Amino acid sequence: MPYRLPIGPFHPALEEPYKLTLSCRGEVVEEAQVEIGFVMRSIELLAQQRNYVQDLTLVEHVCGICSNVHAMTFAMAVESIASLEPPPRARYIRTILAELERLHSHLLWAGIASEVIGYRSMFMEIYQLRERVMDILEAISGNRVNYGMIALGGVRRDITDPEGILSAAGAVRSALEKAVIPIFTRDATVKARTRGIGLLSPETALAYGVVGPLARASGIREDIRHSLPYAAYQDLDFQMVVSDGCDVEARVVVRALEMLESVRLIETALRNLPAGPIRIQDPMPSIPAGEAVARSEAPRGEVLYYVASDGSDTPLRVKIRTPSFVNIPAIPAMVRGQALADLPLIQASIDPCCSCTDR
Amino acid sequence: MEQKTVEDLLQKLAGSDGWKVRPDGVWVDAPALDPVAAAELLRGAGARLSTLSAIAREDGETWVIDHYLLDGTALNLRYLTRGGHLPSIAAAMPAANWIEREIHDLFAVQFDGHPDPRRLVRPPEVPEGFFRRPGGAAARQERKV
Repeated sequence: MPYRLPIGPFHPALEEPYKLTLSCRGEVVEEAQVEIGFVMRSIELLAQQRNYVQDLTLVEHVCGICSNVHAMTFAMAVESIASLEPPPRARYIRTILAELERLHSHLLWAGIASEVIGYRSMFMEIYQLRERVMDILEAISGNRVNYGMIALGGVRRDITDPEGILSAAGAVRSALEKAVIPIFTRDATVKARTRGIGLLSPETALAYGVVGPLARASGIREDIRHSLPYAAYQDLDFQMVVSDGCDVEARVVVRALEMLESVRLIETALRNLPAGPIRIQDPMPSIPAGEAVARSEAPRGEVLYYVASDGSDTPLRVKIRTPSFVNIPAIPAMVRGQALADLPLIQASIDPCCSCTDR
Repeated sequence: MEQKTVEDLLQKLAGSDGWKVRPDGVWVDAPALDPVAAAELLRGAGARLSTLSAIAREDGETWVIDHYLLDGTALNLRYLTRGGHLPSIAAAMPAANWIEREIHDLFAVQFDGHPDPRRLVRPPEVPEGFFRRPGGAAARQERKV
């Protein structure tokens, strides 16, 4: 006899609100429906009532984890309208911040995944390592989450001690290579818990338009850092991580290996940090009438900003498309036919963010 | 996919000179183009739909821009609602399902033929179209009042 099981808005695996209504037969999920909108803040509408500089701070609050990528992508769209070119040093600093943010986000996810898998000692190991990444972000920006680093036409603060940051990044790399990567790519317990569950074929992934590690773990070779390179990625020989596994294990492996690539990008950018200014001279440039789309690769996948200007200091339209907005709708496809007990892990494997989704 | 194939697709979508190449991708202003036919053609070619952007107009109509990505080429197809309606592409392109529901909530655009036109993000006590507020200079003026 089939039955309906509501889960959420408060979840067993994640501390953000969305609701799943499952149709189950015994212990098997037959169908799922997702509801969102529990934390909608109308950030797009608010952005159309503030000036461009105020909006940099506002859009940083779209997400508490990948805050920098929102300010950066908004700035990229506005810079495109106004034909502003950030100086080379600013492009490198933006890249370093973006990759530190990816490390911080992937480690946060890895910790949650460890807990859901039941690997408590790994959870503690990973959260300790995440603190080291937060320390680096704090050393650069003065903040642990909302960094306030992005300016129109550059960045607000310089990296004054590249050698110190390089040394700290090296320590993170050693810890990743010693503990996190072997466990997430080879450990028998992790494999037994993640292999063959939550399947998402490449065709289904493309139909839902999923992005980021979720898409790349389904064999889709797309990463905005490669497809439409921005900041300094074209200078750093970025290497995309892709897996054909299509299951939770593949998502674990892709994120784990992406962390190593992030450290490599940070180290390369720090070793080749160009000299010169960190922003254009005018702190509040005029933005002419026009429109532009900007894309970047957030930790969870592609972020898209559409910005339209009427030539005033306030945007006419700000549209924000976050990765979780396209990744969460794919949950029903991943849980269909799966054991109910695997549901928390399958949900966690897409690293959903409701703050981003609802905006 | 080769660049030629993208150009072939654009020929089919917009004719020989119906598109513009800009730093942020290829733009097609396509008020007469069928969004469903375009979505089917692009899905067949392996394009991914990133999202749809809605921009409210003072006359009550709405610009809707379909943002695709096809092998490193960003394609932006701009449509205009007629009487507040536009054909839904959600059946042809499942990635459009949520964003069409959101645009209905925020801008009151009716996507005809949507397979699941339920409320998505709008609080139940708020009317449809509550994002149809002035932005830009008009919002600045409103802010000062």
